[in-house]
Amino acid sequence: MSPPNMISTLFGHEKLSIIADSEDFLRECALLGLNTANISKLKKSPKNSIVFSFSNDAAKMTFELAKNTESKKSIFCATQVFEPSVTAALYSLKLLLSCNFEHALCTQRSVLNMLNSNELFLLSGNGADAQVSVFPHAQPYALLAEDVSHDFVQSVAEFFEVHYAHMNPQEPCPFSFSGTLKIAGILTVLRKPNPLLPEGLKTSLKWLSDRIAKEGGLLSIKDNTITSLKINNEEHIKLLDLAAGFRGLKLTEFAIGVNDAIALKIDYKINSQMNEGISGVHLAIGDGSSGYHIDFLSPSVNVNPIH
Amino acid sequence: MKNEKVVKEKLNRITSGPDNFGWAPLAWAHTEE
Repeated sequence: MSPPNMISTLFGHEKLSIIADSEDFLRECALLGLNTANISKLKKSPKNSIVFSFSNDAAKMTFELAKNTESKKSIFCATQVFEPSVTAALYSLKLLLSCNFEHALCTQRSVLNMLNSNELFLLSGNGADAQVSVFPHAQPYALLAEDVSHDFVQSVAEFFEVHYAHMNPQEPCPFSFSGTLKIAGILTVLRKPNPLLPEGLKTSLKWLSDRIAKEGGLLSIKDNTITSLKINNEEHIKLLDLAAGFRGLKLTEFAIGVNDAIALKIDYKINSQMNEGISGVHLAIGDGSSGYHIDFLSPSVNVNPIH
Repeated sequence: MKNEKVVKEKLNRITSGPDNFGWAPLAWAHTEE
């Protein structure tokens, strides 16, 4: 099967392979007519690939193979840290294959230019009432067409968002956010079990995610600290504080999503990394290691400079 | 002579890669012990 037109922006009309460490997933991909290979049987990366790792070993193998391969273009989907199920991976793959990469990368360019050219921004639309300022000289993470014109191995998320990350808590946060946002969904990520976190968090967060997907939520933030998450007037901030670990309720990420193509297909009940690129904004707490990294997705929110 | 004002795009950015991963799980897999 030839890759769909949209993804040919990245891979041209050359052969594209789906790589994974789950035979069940690969079987489903083959049924869709896609070229597949099990990562454990490869000595080098295929020239063009989309990789779904269902385990940390497969993720490591992805990088080992990439190091051994001179010419490669690869989109990496770290399924193991989100939801390593065949259903979630197939959902992600189908969304991915329907995306307009050219449009997303082009939108990243204009968003990047806007963020770098201004300091204070108003968030509006979809019930948003918020402001964000970015510190002078703070640089966002962004991916432009020229970054993927030659060899690359990129996490799938990078194609669909421009984001500021507060990685090191000892350093100042590169942005300051205050206001309220309507939340359509959350994503939760923990890269490995952390014995310092309370038991049962995974189940509680799945329950919270399902509630928000069904009923929506209202997130309030003051000076980069989440002060409230309400679903139908019920407060859930204590669960967030427990789940985020020592980084607590302080924001660790502000991002602008640029993926228009998934708006009608998105399922907020699925913990898929593809969801976070949804056009609009998202905020996050936690670092995914000392505690959960939780993204709060607020679609259809516009970000405009305040002059 | 016509004066043309050229507005240059400001494209300073961090691009994910082996040294700068942001929150991309790419990094987490890569650095996992």
